[in-house]
Amino acid sequence: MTRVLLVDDHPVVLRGLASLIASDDGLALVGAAGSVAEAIALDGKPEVAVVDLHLPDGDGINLGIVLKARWPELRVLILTMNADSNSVVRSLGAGLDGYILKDADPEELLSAIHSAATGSLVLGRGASEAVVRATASAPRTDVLGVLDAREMEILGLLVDGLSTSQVASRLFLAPKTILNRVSDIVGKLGVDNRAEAIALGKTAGLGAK
Amino acid sequence: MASTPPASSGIPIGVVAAAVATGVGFLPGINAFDGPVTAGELQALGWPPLGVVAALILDRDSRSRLGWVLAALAVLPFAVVVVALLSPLRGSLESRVEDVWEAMGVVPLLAAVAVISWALGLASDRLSRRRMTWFLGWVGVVVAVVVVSIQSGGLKAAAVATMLGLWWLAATLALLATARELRPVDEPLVEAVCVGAALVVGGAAGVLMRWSGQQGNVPGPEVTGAIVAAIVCALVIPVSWWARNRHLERRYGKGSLAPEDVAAITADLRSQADPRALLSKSAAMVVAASGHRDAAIVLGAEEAEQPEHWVVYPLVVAGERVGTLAVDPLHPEGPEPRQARIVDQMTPTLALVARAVTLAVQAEHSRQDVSRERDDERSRVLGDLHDGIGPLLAGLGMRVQARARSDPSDWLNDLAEDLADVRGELRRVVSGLTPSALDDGDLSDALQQLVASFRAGGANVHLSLGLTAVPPRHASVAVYRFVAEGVTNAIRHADAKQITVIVRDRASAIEAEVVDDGIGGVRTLGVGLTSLRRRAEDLGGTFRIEVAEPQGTRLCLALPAGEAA
Repeated sequence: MTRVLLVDDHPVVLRGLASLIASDDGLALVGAAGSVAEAIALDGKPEVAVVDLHLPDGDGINLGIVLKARWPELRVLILTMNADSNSVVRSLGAGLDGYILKDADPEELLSAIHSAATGSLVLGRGASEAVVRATASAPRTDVLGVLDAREMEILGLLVDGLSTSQVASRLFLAPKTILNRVSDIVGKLGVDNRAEAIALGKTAGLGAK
Repeated sequence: MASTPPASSGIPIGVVAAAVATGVGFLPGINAFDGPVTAGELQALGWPPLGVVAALILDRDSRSRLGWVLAALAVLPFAVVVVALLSPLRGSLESRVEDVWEAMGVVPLLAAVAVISWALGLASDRLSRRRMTWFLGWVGVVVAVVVVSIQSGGLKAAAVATMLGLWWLAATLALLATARELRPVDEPLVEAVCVGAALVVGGAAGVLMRWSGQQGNVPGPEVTGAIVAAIVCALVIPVSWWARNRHLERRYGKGSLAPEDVAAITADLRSQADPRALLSKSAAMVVAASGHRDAAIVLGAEEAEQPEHWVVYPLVVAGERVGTLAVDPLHPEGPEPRQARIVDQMTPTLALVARAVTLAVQAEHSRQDVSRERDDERSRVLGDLHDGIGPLLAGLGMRVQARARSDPSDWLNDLAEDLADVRGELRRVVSGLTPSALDDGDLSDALQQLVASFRAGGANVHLSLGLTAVPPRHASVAVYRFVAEGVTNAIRHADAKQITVIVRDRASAIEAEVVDDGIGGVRTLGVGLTSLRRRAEDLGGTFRIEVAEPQGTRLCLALPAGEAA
């Protein structure tokens, strides 16, 4: 009998997981918690912990590390809705034992718990794709989301290597107006100066017409 | 002198003084209206009009040097009478005054010219240079006439010439002192030469005709000659006037927009997507019409810094400053009056153009902002859907599965399968319609992931990627959705065995195709494809549905690659 600890703040998921484990003869539920605090307060020496990535009072990966420190034999599976590559890489880097999606097939969940108990690394279907994707680092255009179209246009021209006066004449605006907008852009992007804003725009794939 | 008069307080001393001077100056000449006119009286009548001009000038600026000098000159005839009274000359007062005037000759005129020139002053600006040139030009004419009349006509003729000359100079001074802008002095000379040349040519033709008529004994050779002269003159005047216009055109530009200029300037306007192209076109039209070296239009309420000699015209619509027109005049001291008039005529239209362009640019920016906000909002809503409904479905699925394991029944197994389908559908909807897959990677990664998820569902999908650069985010989102919708459509409705997805970038466009070998035929667009079409049009692209060979359907999307928003 593998002793299982469940940590998930979503009551429907927690209930589902609990009944799933109850239905498996090889598994025994030793505790169910809805938060980091409750999980730490639990006792019962579990062998496998299934931990939600996002908990109301903390992060599932950190909780996994804490629980592993307490019971070195413990295997920790991270459970989440999203195949978010950063979290996958982070949880594996933290020495946790696997990653599985909540909306995976219930049988898949059970077999993941069983394989974790035997000591193998578990990567859910969505999660393994996330690992692949994480190795190909890709630029995010999202960081420029704070800019409006007018500012994006100016930043795009600056990324293309135009000077302030060239941008001004291209856009039929006064150089002073461009300088004001550039300082707005620098402020909105939270960078220190114009060069950093241009570098950020370049990374985000602006310009290059 | 051309400045606005200062607010007058009390009695305008300058004007009163000038009026008094005029009256006093007229006293010696009044005799001329009674009995025979003498040369002295004629001389005396020439000066008082300068006092009238003085009043005009002093009314504008009571401290004007020119005004006081002219007022003083108006009193000259009275001073001559006083000098005659005090002089040791003999005879009646009239004859003594006459003698004084005769003794002085053209000296008073020349002295007056010298004093007036000094009073006019020669500042370094264009206006005062032209004022002085015009004045001295007319002085030259008047003095020449007076000298010639002294030589040829004697005292009385000289007096008449002096009187008329002084009146003419007075009228000229009144004009020069009050004008805000003066034409260059050579312009009327060119005009006079043009007219004169026509007259000379016409006259010569007439003389020639008369001579040949006399030789050939044609009756009435004078009449024939006159008619020929008139006809030739009438024919030559338009030609010489055309030459004069060419001369002015070279100097000041055309003064109007010729159709061929407009055609040349606006030739490539159709292919310009950016409304701001209109501004450079408008500036080019200003240059073509006004003959300025260069012109530029800048949008916005603030005045841009311009090179020093550029002249700035604010562009205002309904009291709101919408931009600035700046021109680079050929003349270092600014546009000639004629050019300024042309630009003044154009500025209201230019202001409307600037306003329209500003609005068009704002509209384009708003469209991009709204489009992006719509995407973000949709992502957020679908993300919420995923994170909210997803766990509920997962939990339910687990419980049903648990029950099915402990207490197996067909009914429970069916329910479990249906729940699995619902979870799959939710995943598909969310991953297909949100660009969240793009948040963590570029378009190529996201497409590979998407196609992999279709393959995992059992579809035979081939992906051909040919992206050399990272496309703009909104194009990436549109392409991603296009592929997701297109493949889903082919799987669901077309009964396709093989689906091929091609995404590549060309020099100016990103192209995406989804080709299936399904049942084909005319398909009504679902909500997904309809919104894709709208989206493609929003981004300035195209969306087509074609029949594929040998069977099936081809969906094509092309987006401009330059949309960096």
